[in-house]
Amino acid sequence: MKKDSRLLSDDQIARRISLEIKDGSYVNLGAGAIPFMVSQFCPVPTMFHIELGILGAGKVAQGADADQDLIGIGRRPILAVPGASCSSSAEAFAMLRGKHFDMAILGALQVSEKGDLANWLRPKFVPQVGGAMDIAPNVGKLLIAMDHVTKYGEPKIVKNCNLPITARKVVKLIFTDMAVIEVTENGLLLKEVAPGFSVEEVQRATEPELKVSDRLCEIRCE
Amino acid sequence: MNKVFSSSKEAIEDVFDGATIMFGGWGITGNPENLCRVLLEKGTKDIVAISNTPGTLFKGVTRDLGMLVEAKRVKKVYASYHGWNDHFIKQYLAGEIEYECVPQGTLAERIRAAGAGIGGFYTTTGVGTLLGEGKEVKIINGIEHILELPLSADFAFVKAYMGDKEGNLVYRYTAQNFNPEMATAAKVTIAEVENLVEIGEIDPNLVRTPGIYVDRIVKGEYYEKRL
Repeated sequence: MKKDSRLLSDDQIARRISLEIKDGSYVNLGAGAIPFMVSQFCPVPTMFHIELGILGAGKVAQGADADQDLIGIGRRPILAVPGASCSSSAEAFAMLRGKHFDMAILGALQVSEKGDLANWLRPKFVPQVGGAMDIAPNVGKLLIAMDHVTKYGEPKIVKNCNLPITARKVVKLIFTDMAVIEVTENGLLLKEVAPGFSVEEVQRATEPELKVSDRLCEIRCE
Repeated sequence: MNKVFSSSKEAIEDVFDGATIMFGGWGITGNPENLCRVLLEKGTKDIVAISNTPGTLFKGVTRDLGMLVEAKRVKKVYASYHGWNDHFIKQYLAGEIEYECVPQGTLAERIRAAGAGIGGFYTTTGVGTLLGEGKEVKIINGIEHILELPLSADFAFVKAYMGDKEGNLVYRYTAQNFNPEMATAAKVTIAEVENLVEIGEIDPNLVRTPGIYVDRIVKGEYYEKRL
């Protein structure tokens, strides 16, 4: 099925997410293309952390600057920014679990209307939890970057996750290729819609009922 | 006491079938590739492996624990995820290999606890999930925690950038990852290093793994540049 050309690209979602980051934040990047891209686009000074044990992950390293000992989760070589530091895995996770981070950006298979996250076990596949269970409950603000629906057109934002849970009531903001949605105590709040999409279309692609923000606007990616 | 071995092959001579072995490394970085290579050649089997993943395929080839998984020498893996290792995935789905999936932070902390003499620790990681099932629960400050126990090994294969003949180790960047904690948590720690130097050449302020943890040290024969 041909992809709807109105859907935001990973690039665009990453740019939008980077606008959430305040100057001087400490942000953990989960696995996946979009979290990494956020670090490439982020317009404000930020200490990006990667669970391999680098605080101060920078731009992709090119050519002679590429160092096999300094890589991101996707195994791409990166540079370290001035002021960076390295640690072992136990120390990296002590930093995460110890609630020292302002924000983390993770991917998801499903997010529930209460902010439950499922992102480690697909049906009939191999368990792959990585650092998500350690990270998700322990950051100041958890941001999720994902497609709005599965490749079969099923909603990924659901009333209750039917896939194995990573952590409960942890997600604060959801960024998809169609919308920006906030998880609040009173339910899901639709805040922004991708250009060309209507509120009704976004609602049809979402299982729980969305409240619409009275300041609803188009997603801006710059 | 002489910790220096002249070859990786000699350094692993007493590794036995059924041994529990920790493998440092994360993706393509910090892997004890020489020790893995000679272990593959030695033919050791029924290995219980502890590592972040069961080995990484990079451009279709593996240079770490993955070699042993591919050759079906590994009986069980403790890891935080499958590393997109096709050989492992196939064996797992066919029921040919056991897999205990452990959250990465818990895995690192269980290993650290073993080396640090900590009998067990409570964490919120995994509470309310499949990975927390069956574990002892304690409410601390009103929040549910689960008990995790130390994870130790017969052997730890670690890789460092530089080591001296006393066994002090220095790492680089993300090649550090699981290596420092694994070095503390095995009965026998074998370190392969890119650069082996004389005692006294490493500034004590820069030592990341003190030699007390390291039983054997060997200069790695060959390091492939993957990039």
